[in-house]
Amino acid sequence: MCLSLPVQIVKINKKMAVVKKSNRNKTIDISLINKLKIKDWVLCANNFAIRKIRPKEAKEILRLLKGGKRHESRT
Amino acid sequence: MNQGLKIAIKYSIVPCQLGYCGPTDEPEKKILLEFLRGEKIDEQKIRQILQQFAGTNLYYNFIARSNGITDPFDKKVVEAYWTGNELLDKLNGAGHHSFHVYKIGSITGRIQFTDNLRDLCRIGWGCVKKIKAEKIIIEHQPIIRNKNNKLELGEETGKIVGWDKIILPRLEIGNIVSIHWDKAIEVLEEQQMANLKKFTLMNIK
Repeated sequence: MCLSLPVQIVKINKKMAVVKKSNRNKTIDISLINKLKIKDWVLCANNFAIRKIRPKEAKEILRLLKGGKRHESRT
Repeated sequence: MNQGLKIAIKYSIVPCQLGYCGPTDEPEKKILLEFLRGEKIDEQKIRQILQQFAGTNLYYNFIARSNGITDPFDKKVVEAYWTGNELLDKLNGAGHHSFHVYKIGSITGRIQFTDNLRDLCRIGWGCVKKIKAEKIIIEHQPIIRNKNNKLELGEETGKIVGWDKIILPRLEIGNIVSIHWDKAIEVLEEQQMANLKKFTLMNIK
């Protein structure tokens, strides 16, 4: 479900891919999803790509993760 | 309108729109929103779409079966999963959404989730202080780590969350709302808020 993070594929080697995550690269297993290509965004859990998502969805998740908007309460 | 289906859509649609779960097909997401708006849609179609939320369906079925309820989309079953109620009492809170967020992810010890991710994914709550078009400001307690590295509810702080009027048509200052992925989902009555807090605290231990 929600407990996975969006990462972008930078390189594919058969059933493994190098992805960009927080300005670092890591290798994940992409064997669960067909027809992935470089620059695709996937949700990654436990070093497995579990679902392909749209760039817009990935960017929104990353925006939310960067920090909820805090508001200084006057109460 | 079947209230169980309505509640299921309200809580699931936000992570669905983020790509996390449920249908990837845009027309099917639109059908769910149309149903929330009150448009006449065959309930069987809605059930068929909701069955694509594999994770939540496991829990709905678990809670229903444990309580002798035939319909996994019964209002009480769906409410038990998202905000909690007496159906979870015999399960020690195991069927609650917070159980999935805080316990299941940690079972193997191999999955490291940031606290921020889990705080976004859980069903939070807050009191509405200000309303501004599609945003509202709530007083909210985030879940934080204390000095003993244990999770607990932090101090109340202001937080801006989104307000989608299809999900939540009406809102007033002073309402307590549930939130999921930084969106307001429903106005909670006192007992509902108490249940949500109770089961959340149970599962962050």
